[in-house]
Amino acid sequence: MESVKLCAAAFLCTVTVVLVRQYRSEFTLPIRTAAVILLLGFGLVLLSPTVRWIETLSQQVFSADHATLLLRALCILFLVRICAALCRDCGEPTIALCLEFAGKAELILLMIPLLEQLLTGVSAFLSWQ
Amino acid sequence: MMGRRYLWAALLIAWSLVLAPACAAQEEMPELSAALQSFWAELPDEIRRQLPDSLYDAAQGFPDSEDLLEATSFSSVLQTLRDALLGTLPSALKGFGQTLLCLLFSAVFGVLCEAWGRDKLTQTAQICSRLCMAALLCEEQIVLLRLVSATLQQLQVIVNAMLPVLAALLAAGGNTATAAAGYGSLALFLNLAENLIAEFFLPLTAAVCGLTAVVGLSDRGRLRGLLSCLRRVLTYTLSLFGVLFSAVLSAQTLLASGADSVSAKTLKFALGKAIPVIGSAVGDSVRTVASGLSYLKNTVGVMGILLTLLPLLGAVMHLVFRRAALTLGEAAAELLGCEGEQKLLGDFASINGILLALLAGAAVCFIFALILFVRMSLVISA
Repeated sequence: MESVKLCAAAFLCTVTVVLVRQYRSEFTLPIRTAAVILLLGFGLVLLSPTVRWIETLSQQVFSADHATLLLRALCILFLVRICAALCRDCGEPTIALCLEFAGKAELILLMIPLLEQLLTGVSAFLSWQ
Repeated sequence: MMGRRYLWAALLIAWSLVLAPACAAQEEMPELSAALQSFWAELPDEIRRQLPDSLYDAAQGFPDSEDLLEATSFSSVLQTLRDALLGTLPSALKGFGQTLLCLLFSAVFGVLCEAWGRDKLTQTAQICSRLCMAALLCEEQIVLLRLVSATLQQLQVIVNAMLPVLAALLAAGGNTATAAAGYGSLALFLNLAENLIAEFFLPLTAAVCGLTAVVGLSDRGRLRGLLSCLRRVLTYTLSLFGVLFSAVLSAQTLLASGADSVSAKTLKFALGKAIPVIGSAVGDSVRTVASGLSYLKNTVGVMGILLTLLPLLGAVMHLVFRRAALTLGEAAAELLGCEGEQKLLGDFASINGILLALLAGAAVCFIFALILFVRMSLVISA
């Protein structure tokens, strides 16, 4: 079972960070970052068959563009969250705030084709004759 | 496009006045072949595919009376209706499948987003999933609205064409007073009703549709009040139309009602429940419609009834299936905990119900106008 390995790895990383913080606090950030990357990578590997299945299913029934858009939005959300949390842990909430703002801007940029499609439909409805 | 509709209107009027006896006498009318071909081209594909080949053949012209009788027998018509119904089902199931899959994505997306907390970033991401759902629903709703609009325009063209033809017959005949006094006012009311549905109610429903798509994106929108106001205007005016229609139907004596029966009462109850706002008015008119169709069958034959009902069938079936799919989708959204999507699907389902009410009202007005036209022309020529 992968969860047992994940829990063990996360616990090991946490203990390492706590120990290292007592002696050399400047090394906690790299160790923390490495732990986050390791756990995220593990999660992505577990998730990749599901993502492939969703893409196959969406091409058959649903619009592939919509499914890709939602997956990209999810990735942006996860990445921005994790990095913002890392920034806050390091005592830089301003950087975290700016990063979240940039994440929102990118999400809005992602939504523009859908917004255009929706606005075309709405204008057709409102000017119906 | 409008030329074809006028051609079809002329065909229907000519059929009811002249051609039914001509068909019985098996006279050749080569100019009718082009008109029939245009009519067949106007029918929805899923209806045209189900019609029996012996009903019309461009190469051979009119079929023999025996073949025509067999092709238009009750069992053949039932089979055509059943096949047309099954032909519309796959597209409806595909639409439902798309909606369900979008809902599943939204549910999983929402759960994953909220696992990180409910803040502005999560809300922005969740708007993505609602945007996908709204775009999908808008795309399908436009197609459905175009189909309903085309059907209503066809009915409107025919009903608008009846008045000048009747006026010409009145001028040519001598029995003007009797015909004009009784039939003229009812014909005018039906004409106004048909035009009101196509020119006022349908654009208003389309506007409500557009606002619903925009308002459904976010729970904090400021357009919700405007949407509620528009929906109230639409519902109240439509129910007023239904009351007026019922009042005119009960006051008039020209269109006879059929005998009351268990089946008529059952159909009245079913229509009252299935069709919103004006369902009771449509249900009340069931007996009159049934007796009118029976009168039409005796006058212009089953072919005349088929010409009347076939173009309506496609739009009605699409609407019924689409509404059922949206209602099921709303239930699925509630199960999955997608509140925003649930509201969006519920609003679109109620809009499709209003479209069904408009189509039912227009169909009843059209059938009454046609019956009145046939009866009036007989009275004028008496």
